[in-house]
Amino acid sequence: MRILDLHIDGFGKFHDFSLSFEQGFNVLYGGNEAGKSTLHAFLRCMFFGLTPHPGYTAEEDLYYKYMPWQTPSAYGGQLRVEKNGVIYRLERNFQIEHPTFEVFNETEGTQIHPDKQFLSFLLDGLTETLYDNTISIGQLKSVTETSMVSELRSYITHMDTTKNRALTITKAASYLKNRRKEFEQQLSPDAAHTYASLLTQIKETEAELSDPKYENQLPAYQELHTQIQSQLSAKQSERETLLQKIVKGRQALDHAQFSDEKSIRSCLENAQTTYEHYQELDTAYSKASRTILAAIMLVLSVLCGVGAAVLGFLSSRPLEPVQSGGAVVSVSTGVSHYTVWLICILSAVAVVFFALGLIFFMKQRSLKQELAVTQKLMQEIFSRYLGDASISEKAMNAFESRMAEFIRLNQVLERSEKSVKVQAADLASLQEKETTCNNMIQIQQKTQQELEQKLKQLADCKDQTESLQSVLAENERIQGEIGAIDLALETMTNLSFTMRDSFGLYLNKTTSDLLAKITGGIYDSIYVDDNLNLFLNTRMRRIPVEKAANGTTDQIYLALRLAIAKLIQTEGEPMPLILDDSFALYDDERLHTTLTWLQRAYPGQVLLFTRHQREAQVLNTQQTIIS
Amino acid sequence: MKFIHIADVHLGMNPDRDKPWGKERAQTIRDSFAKVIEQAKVLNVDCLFISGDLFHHQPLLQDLKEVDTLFSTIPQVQVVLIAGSHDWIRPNSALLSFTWSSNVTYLMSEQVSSVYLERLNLEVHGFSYHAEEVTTPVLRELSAPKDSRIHVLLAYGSNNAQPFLESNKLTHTGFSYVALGQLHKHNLAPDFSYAYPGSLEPLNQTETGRHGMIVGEIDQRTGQIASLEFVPIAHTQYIPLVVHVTPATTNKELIARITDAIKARGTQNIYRFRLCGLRNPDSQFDLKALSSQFRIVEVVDESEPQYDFYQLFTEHPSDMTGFYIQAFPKEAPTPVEKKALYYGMEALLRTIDERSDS
Repeated sequence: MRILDLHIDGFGKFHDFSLSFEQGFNVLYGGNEAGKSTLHAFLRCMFFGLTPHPGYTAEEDLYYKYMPWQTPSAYGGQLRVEKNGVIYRLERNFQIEHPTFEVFNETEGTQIHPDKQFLSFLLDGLTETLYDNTISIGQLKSVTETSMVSELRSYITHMDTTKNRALTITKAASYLKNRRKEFEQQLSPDAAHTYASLLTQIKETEAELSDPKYENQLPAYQELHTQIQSQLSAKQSERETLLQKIVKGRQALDHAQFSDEKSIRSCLENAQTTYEHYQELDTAYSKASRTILAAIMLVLSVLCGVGAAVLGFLSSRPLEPVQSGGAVVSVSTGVSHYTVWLICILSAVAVVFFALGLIFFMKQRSLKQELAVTQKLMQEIFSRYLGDASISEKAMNAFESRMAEFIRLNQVLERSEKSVKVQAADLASLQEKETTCNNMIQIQQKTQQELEQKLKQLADCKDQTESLQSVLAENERIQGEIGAIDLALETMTNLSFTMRDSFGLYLNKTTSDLLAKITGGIYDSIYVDDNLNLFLNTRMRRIPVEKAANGTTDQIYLALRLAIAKLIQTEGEPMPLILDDSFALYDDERLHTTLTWLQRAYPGQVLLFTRHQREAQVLNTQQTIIS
Repeated sequence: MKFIHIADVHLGMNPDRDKPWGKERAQTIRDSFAKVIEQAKVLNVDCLFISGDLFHHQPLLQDLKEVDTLFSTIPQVQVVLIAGSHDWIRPNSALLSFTWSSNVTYLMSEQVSSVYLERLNLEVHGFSYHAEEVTTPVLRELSAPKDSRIHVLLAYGSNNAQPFLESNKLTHTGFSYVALGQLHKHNLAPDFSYAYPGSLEPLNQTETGRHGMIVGEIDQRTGQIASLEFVPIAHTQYIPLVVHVTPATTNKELIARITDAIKARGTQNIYRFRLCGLRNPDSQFDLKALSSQFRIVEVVDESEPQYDFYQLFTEHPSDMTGFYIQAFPKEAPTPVEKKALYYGMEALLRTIDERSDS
């Protein structure tokens, strides 16, 4: 679209004012208060209308601001534009009581219904907001008004992006997936599981080994064993001594042919009896009476015999019958009767005495024999037990004390034998204890062996966990790489969706290219975020545009506006670019670069309002003076 | 009185078990321990102090026998040892029923106990761990008896020892020397009053530097440390090396540089390489070939592809590449974000044709 000319019936300070425009660059010069901004506003109002704003005060409301100073009734004017070779005339009266808007196709001489569709056609789809933020440029300012952001977004959303290859990531994603697979193959997938199960195993084994049954009780048992052994050896040597004593004693007794106390006692009694007997015999034998008595008896017998014989002889003679005793009494008839009797008695007495004497003699003889036997017996006893055969009271005493010794010995032996029996029992119990102790030691040793096996396993498990730790660390490192790849994939995939509706996709390149041209290549990289915030890319970092130098900021915004305008107007002659004192802050060099580029590169009409002379000089062109 | 002080031998440990040289490492630990015993003989020392963690795991009877056999070869050296946090004495420990050679004293009590070595007029104090951790302040307010003997303290665990070392001016405790264990890096007190000998052999890749034993001498008359020095014994060292790469560095060149570095420092050592700097984005470093030749425990590639993101964005302001660059924070990205950016860039630059209109 191109603006051909305008006529103001009444708008602000202007009254019945006309101005026509050339193709290409138009520099409109005017001093302060000359009405540049009013003209700018008039153009905008001709396209989009002007009605009072209910919420605004009179100072704020443009309607009242531009109300004609002289003829309020004639509030409006006309604007002639050319689009696709057709000339349209737009006529408006803004007066609130009778607002009118008429459009005429001058080329065809028809009137057109001024609906939204027509305006959209005329303005290449630019809405009021888009118009304000793109081609209509006042003091360059941020274009991040919320309304602008949402309008641009809605515009972009409706664009057909299916053919946009810039978003394709099919191969890139499959490349990343392959890298991921490579890493996955380096993973030891079972490591974590093995590690966990090893830890469990270690825990279990340690718990098992802390069982009291595995406690090392060997020292206690060994100590006990030593004790038992020393007890055993003491007991055994004691027993040995005792046994030897018993053997000796027994030998002594055996030698004396004693088997027990009874035999000793019977021997003693026997000896005592014998000895008593011997003594009696000895006493009896040694008494003279019996021999004497026997002798006396024999003498008496002889005497009696002799007496009897004498008497017998005498009786044969009368004087002598009395004196004879004996057997001739009958023969001597003349012998006295008494003498016979006497002889008989004497003979009898002699026989009696003889018999008595014989008896005594015989008795003495047998006594002697018995004494000899008894003496021999005693001698045998004494010689056996005392080694001396002599019989005496002393010997008997010695024999008795010897026997008493034997009895004591026998008693001691009996006691010893008893205690040997007890000792045997003790030894047996000690040996049993020793066996138990040995068994316990064996069990302990066995348990220790079992323990050592388990300890070996435990050590092995621990070793394995130690080496697994490095595997796990490696796994973790690989997981880190995989995580990074995943993040890359995720970022890329997300971008492939979000980029579709992002401003950057459409504006980064154009804005950057435009900026490079505007700045003569000083800046060439811009990033536009989804709130239309701009960032200037430098080698070092991304600078938010507000932080760039003022002049640079202006250039960046200009680039963005042009980029958006270019994005929306896809074909035909672009909308005129209206610059209202936009370069006031530019230094000469920057102005020169910008303007010469605009002049050369902007394919549409440019209306440049300025209060400086330098723009026209730079452009080396005529300027229209507004007054 | 000359002594050797070691700790944290960790007999039975298998460092780098999953590496090709793993088996050898376990043997190296045993060899280095035997070397210490040999040195005790060669240096004609009077004592050998072992301040805990002689064993990596609970020692088996066989382990004790092996160690005691070694001790029995130095009958003139008095060996005093305690248990640490790895070989702490459990109720089922074979130690409890083990009979050591006559020159060996294991201070097994969990309270501080001592052994008096008359020939040396030396009383060695110490305590053993009966749990993985000891939280009771065993050493609090401990001091040596005030007598004419020389007193040495064996202690494991910096949590026990450190408060003790800090709260007691050692000179006031009456100990001529405190033989410590647990820290795997050797550390000698400036006044030689105490020392950590560190692990005898380095036990993992973080244990860089030299490893060995401490050899010292105590003046019999004054009871003061006359000399104390760290003597390297370890056969192997973990050596971390940083290799700077540039976009001009090729894989071949890198391998050659690393090979030279290893050869200069000894092939028995174990290396950990960290690659830093900027690499050519089109090249990837592959150092697998080195792993079969040398002992390389880890290669951490921290080199970054040298992308000119400014240039790339300027070239691709309105396509995936440019947007992708902008999707990541330029300042202080997390390591994952940084990597994701690189992976994504690599993918996008290699598949650039699918987004170009031509």
